[in-house]
Amino acid sequence: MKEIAENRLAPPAPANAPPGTPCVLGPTLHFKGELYGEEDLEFQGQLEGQIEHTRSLSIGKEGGVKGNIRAKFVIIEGRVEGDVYATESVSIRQTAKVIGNIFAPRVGIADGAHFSGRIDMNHKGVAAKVDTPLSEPQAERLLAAG
Amino acid sequence: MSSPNNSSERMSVFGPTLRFKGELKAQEDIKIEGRIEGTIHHQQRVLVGQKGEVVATVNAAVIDVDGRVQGDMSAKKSIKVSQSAVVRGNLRAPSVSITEGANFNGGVTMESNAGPQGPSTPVVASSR
Repeated sequence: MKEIAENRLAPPAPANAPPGTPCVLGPTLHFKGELYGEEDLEFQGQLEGQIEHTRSLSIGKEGGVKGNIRAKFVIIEGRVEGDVYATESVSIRQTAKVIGNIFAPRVGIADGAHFSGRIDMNHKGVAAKVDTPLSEPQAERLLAAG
Repeated sequence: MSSPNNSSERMSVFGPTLRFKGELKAQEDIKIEGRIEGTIHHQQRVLVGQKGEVVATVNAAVIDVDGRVQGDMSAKKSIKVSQSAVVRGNLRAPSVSITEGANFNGGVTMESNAGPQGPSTPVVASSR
């Protein structure tokens, strides 16, 4: 978690920054469709559709997402309408407004945040399922466990 | 030569691992290093970086291409195709430049008002 926090606080990268700096998508960007990513991303724009991400994804204060989100870490400071799946953690900050369900092993909701939905912390299979489908015995065990 | 982009400290960077399929609208400068499929409607400057790959119709004020673009581009001010660019599509802008060494296949139309697709913003009549 500490790493991410530091990442997020890093000063904005200059335009000609070397590769490896976190990428930022600004507030006037409007996406309609599917977004995939494999690098830390700070999203301040609006997106209608889906996000599939393999690393840290932060929805900034001005950011808004209508649709489902999948990532490793998800940090939400803006508005999200849809389900959020994270393989590691979901952090809902004070300024966030989230309507939807959250599936992640670790979830934090800050005081002051607006959240309505369900939280499931035992849903390990979900995010991993994208790459590796559960074997039958695994699935049965999960089902049996409820 | 990469031009210095000092003025655009708030430029959004669409990173190299990002892939987007759909419709993108924006009113701020953006540098595309990832892959975009669909359409881009832009009010400012679009820079397709060397790693950038765009399979889309692009509308913007200024378009600079260092990477790959497949699709028609229309700019209100200018289009610049640099040496490292690979472009397949038609260009339409009052000012178009193609650097020697660039790979370009398509048509070029130099017109001051990007006619059919740009009713959204009033055309500034620069009479002289």
